Amino acid sequence: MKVKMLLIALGCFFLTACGVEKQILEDILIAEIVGYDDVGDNKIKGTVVVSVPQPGKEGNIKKEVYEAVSHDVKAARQQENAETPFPVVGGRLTVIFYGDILARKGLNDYVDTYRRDPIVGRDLYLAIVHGKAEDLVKMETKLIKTPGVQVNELIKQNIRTNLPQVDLHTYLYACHGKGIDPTLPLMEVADGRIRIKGIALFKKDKYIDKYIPYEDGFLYKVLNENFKLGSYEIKWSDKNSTDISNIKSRVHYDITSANQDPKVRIDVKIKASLLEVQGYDLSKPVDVNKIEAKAERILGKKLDEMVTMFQENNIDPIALGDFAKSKTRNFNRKHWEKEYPHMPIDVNLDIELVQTGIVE
Amino acid sequence: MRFFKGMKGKDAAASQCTSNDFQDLFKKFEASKDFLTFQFPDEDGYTISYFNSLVNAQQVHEQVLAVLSTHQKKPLQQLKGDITMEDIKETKDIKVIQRLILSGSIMIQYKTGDETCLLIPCALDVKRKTSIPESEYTVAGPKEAFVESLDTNLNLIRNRLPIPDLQAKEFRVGSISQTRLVVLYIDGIVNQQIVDTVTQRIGDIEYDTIVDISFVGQMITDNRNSMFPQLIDTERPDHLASVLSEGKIGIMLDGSPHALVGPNTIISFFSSFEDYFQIWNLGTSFRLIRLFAVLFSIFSSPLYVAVITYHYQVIPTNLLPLLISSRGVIPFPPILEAIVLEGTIELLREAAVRLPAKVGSTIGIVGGIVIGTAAVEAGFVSNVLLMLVALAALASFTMPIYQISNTIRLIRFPFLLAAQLYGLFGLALCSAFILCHLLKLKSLGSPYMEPLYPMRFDDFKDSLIRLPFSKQIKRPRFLRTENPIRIKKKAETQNTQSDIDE
Repeated sequence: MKVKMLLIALGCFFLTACGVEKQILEDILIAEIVGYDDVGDNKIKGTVVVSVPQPGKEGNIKKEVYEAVSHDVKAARQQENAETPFPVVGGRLTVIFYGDILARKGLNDYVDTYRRDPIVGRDLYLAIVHGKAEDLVKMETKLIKTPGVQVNELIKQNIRTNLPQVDLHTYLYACHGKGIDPTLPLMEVADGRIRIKGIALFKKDKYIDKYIPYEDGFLYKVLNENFKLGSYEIKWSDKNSTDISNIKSRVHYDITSANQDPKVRIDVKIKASLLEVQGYDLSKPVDVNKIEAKAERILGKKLDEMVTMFQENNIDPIALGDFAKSKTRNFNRKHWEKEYPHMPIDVNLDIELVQTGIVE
Repeated sequence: MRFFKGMKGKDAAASQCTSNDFQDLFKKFEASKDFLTFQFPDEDGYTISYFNSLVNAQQVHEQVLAVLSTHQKKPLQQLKGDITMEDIKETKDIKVIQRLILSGSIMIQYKTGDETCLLIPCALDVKRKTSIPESEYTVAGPKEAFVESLDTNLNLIRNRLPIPDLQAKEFRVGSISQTRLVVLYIDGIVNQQIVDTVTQRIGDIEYDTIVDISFVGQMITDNRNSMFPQLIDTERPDHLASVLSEGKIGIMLDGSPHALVGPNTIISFFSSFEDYFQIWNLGTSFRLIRLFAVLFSIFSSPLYVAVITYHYQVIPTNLLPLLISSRGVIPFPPILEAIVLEGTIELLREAAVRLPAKVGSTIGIVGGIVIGTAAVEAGFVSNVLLMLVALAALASFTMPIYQISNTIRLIRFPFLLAAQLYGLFGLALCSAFILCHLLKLKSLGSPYMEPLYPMRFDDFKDSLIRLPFSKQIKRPRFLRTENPIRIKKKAETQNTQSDIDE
C-alpha cells in the first residue's frame, strides 16, 4: 500500500514536472528598461533594452535594443521575440518610460498589463519622457553599469530629496484612488545625459502637460510627506542667495467642514541647517531670526503658488480629497470635487534654523 | 532482519556449543593449536589447560604454577585457598567452564578426565591506553576518550560519578560473539520506563556477531530507516557522565570505543560539548552559528538551482551580470552543474577518509586547486556555484557529531532534485516532507523535535540557546526524570555582595 502511494506520488512529481516552464538564467533576455511612444494611427512603438553580459568576463556588458510597433504592449513584446535569440522576459524591469504624447492620451491601457502580470515587481519605476521615450532608452550610458541599473539608481537617489515615491504601486494607488492624482518623474535627454526635468502632473491617468521644475521638487515633497533630506536654494535678490538643508520636515493637514464649506490648512514645519549664506553674519542670533522670517516669506509664497496651480488645474496630487474622506463622516465626494478648485487652502510655513555650521 | 530470524535455529545450534559432554568440549578445544594442556608439576600432578593466547603468561607463572610447584598435591577444594587470586571457581557446569576458559581462565583438574575443575581467571588484557578524543576533539576540557576495553570505560565513568546510584546493567549480545554490553544510568534520576524500553530492545537483538556499538545503535533505535540518527555516539567520558546526571542513559559495548546516549532531541546533535566549557553567551552564539551553518549547508546549492532555473527575479541587481557571465559558458543546465560539483565534493570527502593520513593532505591540494580551478577554467561549473558548494561543505564540517554530518551531506540531494522539478515551491515541499518526518521521529520514546514541538519553554534553557549554569535548575522535561530538580538550593542571585567586607 505504502509503495503504491509512493509510486503515485512520484508519478505526479515526474509527470507534472514536464509542464513547469523553465527560465534558466542564461537562456533568457532580461529586459531592463522599456519605452513606449505614440506613433500615430493608434499604434505604439515599444523599445526595450536588454543587457547582455559577455560570458566569462565580469563587468563586460553589452547592450542590445529591440523595437516593435503594435497596437498594444503584449503584442509589441511578441514582435520583439521575432528578432531575439531568446525570449525577452520582464521580471526584472526597473523602469518603464512613456513618451509625453502617449502620456497625454492616458496611460491606463499601457500600464494595465504590468499591473496584472505577477512576474513584474511592484517596485518598478514609471517615468514620463519629455520628447520620445525611444531616444532615452537608446542612450548610451556612461557609467559601467547596465542601463536599467543606472536609470533606476538615478530615480532612487532623487526620491530621497526631490521626487515623490513613483513606483508602480504608488502610481496605481493614486490613479485608481478617489481624491488623489498621481505624479511621475519627467525625464529628458540633455547634453547626452539622462536628466530629471521635474515632476509631471496628472489628472487621473492623463498627463496635463504641466510639471513642477526639478528645483521646486523639494517644495512639492515638503507639502506631500515627512522626510529628512534635501536642500533648497533661496534667492534673496539677484546676487544673494542661500542654501538651506533640510534636517526634518513635518507636514500636517487640517480640513474643516468638508461637507459644507471646506477650508484647508496645511502646516509645514521645517527644521533646517544653514550652511551657505551670503550677506549675513551668522554669529549674531538676530540675524538667524531674520533669515528665518525671510525664508518663510519667500518659500511660503512659492508653496501658495504651487497649491493654487493645483487648484487651477483641478488636480489633487497631495491627496487632500483622500485625506478629507478619511477624516469626515458621510463624506460627500461630489460636493468636495465641485468645491475643490476654489476652496481656500492656507499654507503655514514654519522654518527653524537649528544649525549654522562651525562658527569661529 | 527477517533473513536472520529464519536462520535462528540453525545458527544457534552451530555456534552455541551446548555439548553436554565434557569430553566433546575438550576435543573441540584441543583442535586449536593455541590450547595447551599438560601435567604439572610432574606426571602425577594436576592437569592444567588453557588457551595460550588468552591468558597472561606472567600471571600464570608467578601466581599459579609457582604455588603448585611448592605445595604438595591436594584436592581442588584446598588448593583454592592456596592460590592468592580472586574469583576462583570450582565447578562442573559445562557452560560455565566453556565461557570462562574462552574468556582467559586456567582450568585445573585433579587428574585428567575429571569433570570437576578449578577455574582461575588469568585473562590477558590487550588494550590501548586512553587517548585524546579524535572525532569530538575540543580545545578546552578533558582530553580523555573511551577505549575498546569496557572495564576501562566503566572506570572512566565511575571516577566521574562516584555514587552508588550509578548502575550498570550487563547483557550479552550476539549469538556468536557474546559481547558484553552495559546499560548505564543513575537510579533515582532516570525514568525507569526508558531503562525498560532499552532493556527490552537489547533483549530483542538477534545477530551473530556484534563488534561495534553502532550495530547496537542501529538495532535498538526507534526508526531504523530514518536518515536522522536518534542516538548520539560519543567518545567522551565527560560527555557521557554529564548526560547521565541529566537523566539520560548510556550504552557501552566491550570492544567499542564509543558509547551511545539517549534519548536525544535533534538540537542535541548540533550542540558540541564544548559549548559548556565556555561562558554561556559565547556558547549560545556558537550554537546558533552552527544551526545557521546546517541550514546554509542544506539549502545553498538547491537554492542556487531553484533561482537560476526558475526565479531570475529574486537575484539582486548587482549580482545579475556577475551570475550571467559566470553561467554563460557552461554547457550544462544548473542541476547537472550542481550535481557534478556536489558529487566531486563527496568523492573528495570519501577519498580523504579512506586514505592514510600522510597521503591525505595531497587530496586537499588535488581537490582544492586542481579540480576546483580547472573545472571553472574548463567551463564545467560556474565559480559562483563552486564557492557556494565549498562553503556548504565547510559548513557541514562544523557539525560536532559525526553521524549528523553524514545526514546533512546526503540530505541535500533530494532537495536538489526538488529544486530542479519545482523551484522554490519544490524546496518548500521537500522541507515540509522532511519536517513531517522529523516531527514523527522519536528517540527512545521521547519526541525528537522537543522543545520546538511539543513546545516546552522550560527546555529552551539548553537547546537552541544555552543559559548559564545558575539557570539550569531543572533537568530537561522531555526525559521525564524521577527527580527533576538539579540544583537544590536556589542559586545565589549573582555576586551582589562582595566577598570581603570593606
